[in-house]
Amino acid sequence: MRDLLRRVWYVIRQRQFERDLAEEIEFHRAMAQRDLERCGIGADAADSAARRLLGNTTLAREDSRGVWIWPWLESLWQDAAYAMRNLRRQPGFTAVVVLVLATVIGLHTTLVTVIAGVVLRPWPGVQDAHRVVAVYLLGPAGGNAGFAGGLPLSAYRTVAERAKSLGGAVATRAEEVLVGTGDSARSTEALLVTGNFFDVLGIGVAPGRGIGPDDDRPGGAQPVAVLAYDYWHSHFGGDPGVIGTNVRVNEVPFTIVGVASRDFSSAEPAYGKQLFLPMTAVSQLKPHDPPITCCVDVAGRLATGATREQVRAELDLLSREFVLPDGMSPRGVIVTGTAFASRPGRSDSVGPLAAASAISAGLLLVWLVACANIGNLLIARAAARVKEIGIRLSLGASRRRLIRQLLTEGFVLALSGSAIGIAIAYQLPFVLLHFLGGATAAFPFRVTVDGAVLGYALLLAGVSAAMFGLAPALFATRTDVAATLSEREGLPASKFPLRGLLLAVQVALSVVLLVSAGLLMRGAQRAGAFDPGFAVNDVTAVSFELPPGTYDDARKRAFFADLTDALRGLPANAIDAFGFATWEPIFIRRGYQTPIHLPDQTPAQAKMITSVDVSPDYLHVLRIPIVAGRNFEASSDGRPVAVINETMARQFWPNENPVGKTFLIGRADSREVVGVMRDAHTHSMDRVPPLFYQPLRLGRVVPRLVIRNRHGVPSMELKRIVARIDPRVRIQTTPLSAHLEARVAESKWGPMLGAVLGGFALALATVGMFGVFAYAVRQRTREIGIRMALGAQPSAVVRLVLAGHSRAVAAGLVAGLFGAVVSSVVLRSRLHGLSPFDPVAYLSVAVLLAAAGLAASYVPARRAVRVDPVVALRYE
Amino acid sequence: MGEAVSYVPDLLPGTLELLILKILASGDPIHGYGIAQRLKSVSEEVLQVGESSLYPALQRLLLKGWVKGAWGASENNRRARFYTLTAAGRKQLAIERREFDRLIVAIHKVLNPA
Repeated sequence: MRDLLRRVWYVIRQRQFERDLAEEIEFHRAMAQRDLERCGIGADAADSAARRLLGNTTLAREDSRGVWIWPWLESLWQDAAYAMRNLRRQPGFTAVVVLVLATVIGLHTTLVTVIAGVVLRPWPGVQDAHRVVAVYLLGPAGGNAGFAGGLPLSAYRTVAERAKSLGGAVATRAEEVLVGTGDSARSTEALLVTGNFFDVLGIGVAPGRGIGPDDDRPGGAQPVAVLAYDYWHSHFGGDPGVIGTNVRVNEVPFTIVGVASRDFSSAEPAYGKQLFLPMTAVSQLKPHDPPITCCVDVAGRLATGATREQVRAELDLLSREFVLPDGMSPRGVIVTGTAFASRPGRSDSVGPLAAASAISAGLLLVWLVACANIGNLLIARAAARVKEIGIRLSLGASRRRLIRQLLTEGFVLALSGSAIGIAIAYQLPFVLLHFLGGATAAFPFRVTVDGAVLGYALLLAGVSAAMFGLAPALFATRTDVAATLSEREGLPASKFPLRGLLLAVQVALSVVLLVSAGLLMRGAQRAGAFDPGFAVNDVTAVSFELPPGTYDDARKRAFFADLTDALRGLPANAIDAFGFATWEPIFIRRGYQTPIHLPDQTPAQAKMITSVDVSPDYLHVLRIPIVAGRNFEASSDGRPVAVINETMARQFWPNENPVGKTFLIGRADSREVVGVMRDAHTHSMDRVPPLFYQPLRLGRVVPRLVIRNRHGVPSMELKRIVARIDPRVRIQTTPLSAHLEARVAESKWGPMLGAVLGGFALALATVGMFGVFAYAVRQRTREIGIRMALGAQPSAVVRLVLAGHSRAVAAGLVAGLFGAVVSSVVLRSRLHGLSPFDPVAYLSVAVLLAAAGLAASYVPARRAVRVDPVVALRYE
Repeated sequence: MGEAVSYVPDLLPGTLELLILKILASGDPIHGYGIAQRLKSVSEEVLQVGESSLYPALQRLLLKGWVKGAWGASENNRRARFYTLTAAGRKQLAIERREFDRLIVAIHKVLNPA
């Protein structure tokens, strides 16, 4: 083994080894020459004499090198050629094994590609990305809600000026802007950055330059813009002449000064952004908005010698002075790397990372089943070859050499599987990301199969080969030569308890996968048929895009007042009901997360609760009934009242009537509960989160219009109404059912993948059972013959032959059910409220497996009872 | 090969390795050239090893882990690789010595039948 490691080391450091050797031989020659010179021979003559004396240097080097590599390679090649000959002789077996391995290794490599290339990789296109950290504030809220978010701009300034452990700190903020003029203006994602952004992160800019400190002076912001690489290509044809020209952003001309590097466009802050603008430019972009105070995303570069831990400690101290918008102080900071997965909250139980790990775990299980299965097949083959192996042992082959040969066979199999698997991995990430990406539109990725992925696939092949090849190799070569040669085909079953074990493993893992898939499918079924608890089908949400730069609060208020009047003025049967809300229901947790606590609690005990600002008619539009108290009054605009849902009532006032009680937002802002509404699935597909509505204050934010109408939404009519108030305003309508369908469709991918994996495992396990049973019968044909001749009943014979392995199947089933319980608890969050112990899923899997077992044992059992004693006894 | 040089007469396979191990057994680190010189002088000029057999043999010993090489300065201040025996090498030396003795006795018996 050490030998092998040294050889591998040689291969890795080959150049170094050869240099050493050459130098050593050259030294030898020089010494010989010196000695000859001492004997009084002239330098030239000595040189040639020394060379002659030493023979051919190149030959010496070749020979020395050959010690390391050649004999080894040669024997390896022999083994591989022998293995291939052997495998070619059984094309069916080979094809099945290679296909199984290719599928599993391909799928798993794909997943690892995605996770490693996307989720765990720090920002690409950033110099020395491992020294860049992201900073988040821990919210004031207590409990384990663990709210973490960006920093107020003032806090960022403190960090940038005072943090000594950071070599530089930058801030960014995403902003939606309109690029272009008039009708050709397009809504575009821009990233506002501080003047040091390009410099501190070391982002490549070509052509042109990045945004510099001079472009970002408070009060004197230079209207300059840097284009994202893809945007430069799609909108400016990749023309370098674009530098120095103007682009209109929110009707303000900005000078294009550069194009950011292509690599950086898949870094998270830049992902999907088309423009980079100076942070201070916001005063020109949105002249009527109050200046930015909260919040910006902060990243920094570690100062030389500083560690992440030092940054955290220093910023923790600094953060005591920070003031959040609600007047409270943060509990501290979180300092992480810049990878997608390191952002707080990303690794929660429903995030894309969790989904990817669940699929990955499923694939690993299938892989294990496949390895166990192939292991059993190889044992059967090894048993059939016991005679051959015995002969080779008796002819003097060393056991080690034979084991190596059998392992090589496994490795050849695994490697062929891997090769096909890599081909799969090459295409699949894009397909897979498409599924996963449904959950997170902002999935910054640029995936390629690179060296690391190839290495991983090879590693999987190696581990597979060792897993399914080692045990059979050891077993097959353990045999006592004399016994083997005298024996008939095969070995007594008792010598291979391993087969039963491998069978049990297959069954157990299949059960785990099948139960998980079953539960997921039942969950999805439930999600598809679920009752949201409010009107979905007839409701449509309308969002507004106001012309930038011209709408201040008063104008917004006027616009929505006009709109309300116009809608009220419609004929009585034109629409059934309408209202406004900051967010329409989209079945995922979206909305403001507000820290609230009760008057007798301290602010530190606050919990983060979802809240939505709504107009009084909103509950009526969604048909959510009030179960206690009352709805908002028509004139409650901005009053400190709230309507809470039943879950929130239960959480904050268990066994009490919450109507008339108050709770506090932030430090002192209080709300009186005026009513309790029934729980509705506006914000989730499974458990209803605590939620409260408060009256919408028209003017500040741009709300969505929510309309309920039996005959669909009169969108033309709506467009006309809006155009009459202000022709520059654009609207977009989305039926709530579209949101719901999207969520349901999303929730089906997991179960489908699970079902495919489970079916795969079941098929493998069935084939595995069949193989083991069939082999058991064949092995004991003679014994069966004798028993039949002595008058044994067929049923007794079947029991006898199948009993041992049926026990293994049963043990696997039981173990699998236990494993399934564990996995279903892990999957709970994806079950849409289905109990993890759903009897239907468990029972159907048990039935399915029993059926598979029966099917697998039917043919072997029939073969057993049809054994003709006469033939069997002549078997010799 | 060379007329002036008499090479090591056909040694039994493995004998050169045994001799190298023995020379290194003194404990001092010795470079390749030093080993060749030592062989020559101890055997009174009978065993003259060319590099084409010395260095492959040394590589084999390195591969087996019986000797270790370390770079250092030679007596004339050139960089040279100095070899020392490892613990495994010392054990191997003992084994091979026994084997060799047995072989010699056997050969002797064949050549001088009683």
